[in-house]
Amino acid sequence: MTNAQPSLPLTQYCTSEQPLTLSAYQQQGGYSGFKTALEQTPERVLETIKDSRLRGRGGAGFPTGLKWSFVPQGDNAPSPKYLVANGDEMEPGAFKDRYLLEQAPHQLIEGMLIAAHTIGASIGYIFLRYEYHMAAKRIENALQECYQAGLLGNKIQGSELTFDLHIHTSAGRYICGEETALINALEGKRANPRAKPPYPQVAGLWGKPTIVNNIETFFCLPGIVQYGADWFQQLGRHKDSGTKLFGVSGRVKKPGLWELPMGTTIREIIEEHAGGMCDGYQLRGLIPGGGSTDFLLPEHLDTPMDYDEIGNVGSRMGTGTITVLDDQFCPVDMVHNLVAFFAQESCGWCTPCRDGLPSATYVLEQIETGHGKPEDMTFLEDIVDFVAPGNTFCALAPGAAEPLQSALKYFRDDFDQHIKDGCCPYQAVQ
Amino acid sequence: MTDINDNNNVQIVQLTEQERSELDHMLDHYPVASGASIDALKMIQKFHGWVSDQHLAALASYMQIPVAELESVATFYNLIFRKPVGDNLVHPCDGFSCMVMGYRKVHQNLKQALNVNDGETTGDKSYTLIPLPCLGACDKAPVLLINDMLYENVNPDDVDDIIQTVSERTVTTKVHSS
Amino acid sequence: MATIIIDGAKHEVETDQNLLQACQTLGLDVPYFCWHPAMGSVGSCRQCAVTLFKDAEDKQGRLTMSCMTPVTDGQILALNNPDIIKFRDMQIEALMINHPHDCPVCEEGGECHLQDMTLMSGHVKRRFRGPKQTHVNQYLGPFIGHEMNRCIACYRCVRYYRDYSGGTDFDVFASRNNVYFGRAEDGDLENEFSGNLVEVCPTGVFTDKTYSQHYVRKWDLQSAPSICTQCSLGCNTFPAERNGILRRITNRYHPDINGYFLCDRGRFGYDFVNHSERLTQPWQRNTEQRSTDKITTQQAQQRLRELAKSSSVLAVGSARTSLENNFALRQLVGKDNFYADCSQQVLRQIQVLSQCHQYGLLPSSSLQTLESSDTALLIGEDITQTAPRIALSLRQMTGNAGKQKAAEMGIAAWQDAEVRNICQQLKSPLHIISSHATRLDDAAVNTLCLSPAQQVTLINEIDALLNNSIDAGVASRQARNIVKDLQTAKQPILVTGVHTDSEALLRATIQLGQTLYRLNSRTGFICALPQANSMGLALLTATEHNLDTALKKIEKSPPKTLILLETDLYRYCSEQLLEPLLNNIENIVVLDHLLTPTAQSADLLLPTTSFAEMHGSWVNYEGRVQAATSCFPAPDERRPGHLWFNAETDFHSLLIEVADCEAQLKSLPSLFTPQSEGFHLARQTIRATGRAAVKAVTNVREQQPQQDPDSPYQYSPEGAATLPEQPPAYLWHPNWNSNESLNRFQEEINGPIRGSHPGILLHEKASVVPSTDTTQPGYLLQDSSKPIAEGKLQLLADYNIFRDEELSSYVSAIQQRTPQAAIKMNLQQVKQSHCEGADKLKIKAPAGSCILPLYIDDSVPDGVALVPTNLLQQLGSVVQLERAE
Repeated sequence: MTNAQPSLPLTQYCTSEQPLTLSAYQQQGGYSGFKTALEQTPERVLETIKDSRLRGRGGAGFPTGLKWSFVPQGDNAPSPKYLVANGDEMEPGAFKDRYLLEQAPHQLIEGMLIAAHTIGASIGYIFLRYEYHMAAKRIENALQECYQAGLLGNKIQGSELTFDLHIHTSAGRYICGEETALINALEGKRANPRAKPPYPQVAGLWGKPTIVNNIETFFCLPGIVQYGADWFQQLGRHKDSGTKLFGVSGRVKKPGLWELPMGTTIREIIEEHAGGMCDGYQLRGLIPGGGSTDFLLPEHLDTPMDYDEIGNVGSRMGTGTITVLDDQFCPVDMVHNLVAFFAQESCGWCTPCRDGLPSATYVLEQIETGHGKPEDMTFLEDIVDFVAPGNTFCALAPGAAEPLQSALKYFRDDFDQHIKDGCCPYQAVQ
Repeated sequence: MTDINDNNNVQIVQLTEQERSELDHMLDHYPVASGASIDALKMIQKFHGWVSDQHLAALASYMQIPVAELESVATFYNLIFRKPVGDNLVHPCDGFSCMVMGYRKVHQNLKQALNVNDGETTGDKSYTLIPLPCLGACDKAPVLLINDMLYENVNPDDVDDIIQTVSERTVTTKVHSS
Repeated sequence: MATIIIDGAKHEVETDQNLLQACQTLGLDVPYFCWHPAMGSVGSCRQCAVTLFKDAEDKQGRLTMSCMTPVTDGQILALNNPDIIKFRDMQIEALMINHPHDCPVCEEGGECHLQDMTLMSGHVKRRFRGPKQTHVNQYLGPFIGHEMNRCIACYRCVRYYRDYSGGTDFDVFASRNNVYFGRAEDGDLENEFSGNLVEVCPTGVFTDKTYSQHYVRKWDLQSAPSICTQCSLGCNTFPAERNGILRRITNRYHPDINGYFLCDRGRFGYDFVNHSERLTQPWQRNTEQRSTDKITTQQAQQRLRELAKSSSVLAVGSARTSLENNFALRQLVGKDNFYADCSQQVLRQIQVLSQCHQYGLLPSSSLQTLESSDTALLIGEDITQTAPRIALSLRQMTGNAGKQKAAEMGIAAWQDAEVRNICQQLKSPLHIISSHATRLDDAAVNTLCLSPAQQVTLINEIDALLNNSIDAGVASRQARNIVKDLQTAKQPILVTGVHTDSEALLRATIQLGQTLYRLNSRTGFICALPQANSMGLALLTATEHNLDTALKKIEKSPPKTLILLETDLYRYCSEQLLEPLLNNIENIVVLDHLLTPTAQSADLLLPTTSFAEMHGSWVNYEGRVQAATSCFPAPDERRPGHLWFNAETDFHSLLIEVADCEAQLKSLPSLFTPQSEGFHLARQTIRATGRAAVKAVTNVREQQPQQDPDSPYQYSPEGAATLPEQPPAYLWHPNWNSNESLNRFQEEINGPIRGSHPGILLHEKASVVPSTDTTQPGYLLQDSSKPIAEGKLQLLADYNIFRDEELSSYVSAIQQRTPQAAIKMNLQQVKQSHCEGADKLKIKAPAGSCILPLYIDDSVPDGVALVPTNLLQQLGSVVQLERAE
């Protein structure tokens, strides 16, 4: 067991092609965060998590400790309580959870055990995307190892904690990433989101208190418990605590994924870690955190990747996986791809999303293929207003509006040129 | 003498013993039977490639949930197939990162190699082509998922070779299993 | 109460509702689609947006769905800020992307909520150039048409059919803008309340197929406030007519009975009124000429008067026609000669029941009370088949535990999806004691399938446990389980019926009801009766004057004249039994709508008006006297029974006569308002077209509309649409052309229609102080538990909603849903009866025999078999079985 405080707590065990076995993981210090937690009262662990100022890594950045504190506690609290790991990574441009799941399944389980102890959950589900076959196999193995070693099941490690953990692979639906839709999917229903209140923390899966956290959030927990809130806070380079997985895809020299301190600037991520743009390509814009975040421009490169800082320049942290738009790919085409995706993934529950997004998709396609009309721009702007946050039942359609509204703002000339020329100006280049 | 519970409209398919035992195992994980709906549909798909009307009815009857309810769930999810699919599912990623990195060419070549359009199955029932959105490997774009094998950094010119390899493997598996 | 400010004006509103509801009650126009007053809010359509301000300083406000926002004191909102107007316009524009422009050929046209909301939103111009999404339609059975292309995906249908009424064969399929609402495959919608889809759907996806058969636009319909006469509940309806054809029935809201929903028999079973064999004029048998002659109304009237005065006369009244008709017949022939058309057993049960209500031993509860109860015990009655609307209410009752739990978490009952998520499998207990599996079993915590004798034993056991007269240790587990729920309930209710063939069962149930009522004054009690006016007829008839005694009297000393008012005796008696009896009677007078088997044996046959063509009152199961107003005038040859019996007395004098003779009915005249000078209500809409032309095929002269001195309603578009003290003849309001306009006529959302009469409750006030003495204990009256002789079997009724009611059974759409007649028994019993492997069985009884196909139904207990209701009535209950060749 090592006592040195790790600087890369999320990926410290991701060292080879194959994930660590239980014994190797334990040998390298794994499950000591959980053991530390077991020695403490749930209240104490909760305080540590709150003090660490950990914010949910799924995209919205809600403080994890605060979320947990809403779970009813005490003898009269409903039971069982459920804990769910959201591994339904379907956000276009996001590729961080897959890596963690495939590389260190035990760290996920450890994080979930800590959460289970803290909120008093007795049943857990790991909700996995259908296509993550390898992750599913590796988690399945890890679960078996844990059951055999008494790390899951009844009276874990001789404590009062009883926790059963199952894996649920989805059947393909982006909306399952929304926590209430995910709960419906786990109940074997159509994954329509639910209205809040009641929040899942109070009445979630089968009407019982339920906590849903992102995979990466669980990965943060063992370190926080073991090394303390201060350690975690100091990992961040700016206002937000901890480290995070950041990635870059698109026409860069070295696309990839890195664990970096929160608050690392976009410029550093793209230019240093991803090696800058490929030769012959210029940076036109970027989407900082998956398909449902607003475009940013080269002028925003010095923004630190912090929840609030990214918000201040008009976008969102999202998943922290950056996609770059180069000068040879049509921004209208890119937006069309994104809006079409969200239209396709609409659950069909509320009108703006169900009928608004497909009409925007159609109009974008018309523009891209040279059949656009000047009044289409007003229509697209109207759709952006129509699916604004608060107008729709959940955040899916507002998410779709983010790349669209920012593209209308930053790449307006491209749209106009498509309409004026009656064709896509990038077609010849491609 | 007629049994009142007979439903003569649907040709009844019986679940196999293995299917029933897997189903029982799944039902144990959930406080109510309908919780296992998605798992159950995927289990049928595992054995049969897709979910036929008959299998849907057999599942509903075994799980004691209405056929309409199960169908409502089955048709909601993208990857529950209610029509027959080929032995191999070919899923090029059409997420926007792959799009930037050359999905269109990969897609075009796949359509040519297989001689099908999206959602179609080859004449010999070997392949069904279904593009899927972002497969979560954007740093290795463009990517292509065939069954549970992920091909990364796919060069559009390699598509034929990839299909060829898959075909050979399918033949081998078939020989082994027969 | 809370004070909220809407567009600058202060309003006092109730707090247990959402903002949309509050605006509706205030009569303010806020458009909506997915919200429904009975089904609550789910926030899917997003049409009901309003601007909500944080405080008086906030000028910006925030767009809010009014249906999802609870009323709180001090709220400030604006209904028509520019951003809201634009948002609603966009919402309609989005819906219209795929909605076909087929309004001219759509049956919803002119009463389409989508049309109304489109206009209200101000959306006028289509900008979208792309193609429309299309779908394949389904065959959904004889009642409902399906046109999916019109769907705007408000999810009301699936929420109604699956979540509210418990239907399992309808759902939503696929996703995104491809969602599809229908069945898994083509076929009849199985739920008994499917017809409400027509009213729940805000546009023309689900339409009334029977209406399609003789479709006219809503504005051409003539309507009147009426009641359904197809079972004993007395649901309120709007029948609608044009040109002498009854076109359809729609729901008329009554807060204590049907609420917003009808059953399929009540909605679709009306076409007997338009039947091709509907009697159009009086006929007289000419024995010498061996012919049947048409006679004039005057001749018929004269003939009837002569026959009624003959030396001996016997008359049988009808449990399906009005009080007034029965009363007039009784006046004509005298009390001593007036009999009810129900069996001794049934009449006695009804009278015992009404005495219990009278003496305050048992409450008589409304469906509203049922829906607010928290535990129900359903005894010996397949209620879905016999008094269907009760089943829908029982289902709602089971949701109360969930609503209660949600309320504890601060979630209001109208937050429908949230309540369902919280409650999940939690249900208020419904226990069913039945003789076979029923359509309500899925809503029940337990269904016990027992023979009537076993049922009586169990009920006595429950009663004894409640009375502490036996030790819990010796009681059965079933009894203990039921008692536990009844004792912990705040508001328990017993539901039963007199349909069952076991008188002892009802007596035991009454006994149990009394016990429970003594222990808990909030106990409810509902007993369904066989027909629409069973209670009314029982009021007018002495117990010993029933069908059994009438037949005996006819057999012993045949009367010279037999008068049969709207009853087909062949439904109750086998041919073998009845024919010889009728042959001995010199003059048989039959008054009815159709040429029934009984009518065919008439010597004098008089056509009568249906419920839709006359004024009348009916007494429902709970003793509620309700008025039905004539919807359209019948030809002169077709008259209500009371006019045949006494042409001289007008309707209002007759009402006064009834009030004078029957103490219980002394306020009957208050149900009906005669026409007064000056103030008229119109039965037709102001837009009714072609009044002069509609009859031009037969007569080019414009005819004066027929006068109706007995009501304030005119058979024409002349007159007001509403008057303060009168219910409207139809629902139509500026900007609100669809049935959603109801909210403009209600006192508040889920409140009664303004001006409507709730009915006179006969048992409202107990005339005697509640007694604490128990009457004779039920277990001493176990007549049905008498052992049945070796080799014999007890028949029980296999009730069916689409088979049992006489008049609707003549309707073609209903017939398409009538199941094949069969005998049902369990496999063990089949073996014991040595009939294993037989396809058909011969059922032999003293009164006759018949052959029926055999169905195995293992829910049927030993010693009994189920047969269709009318066969049970004809054959009697103890029979022998043998294989049929």
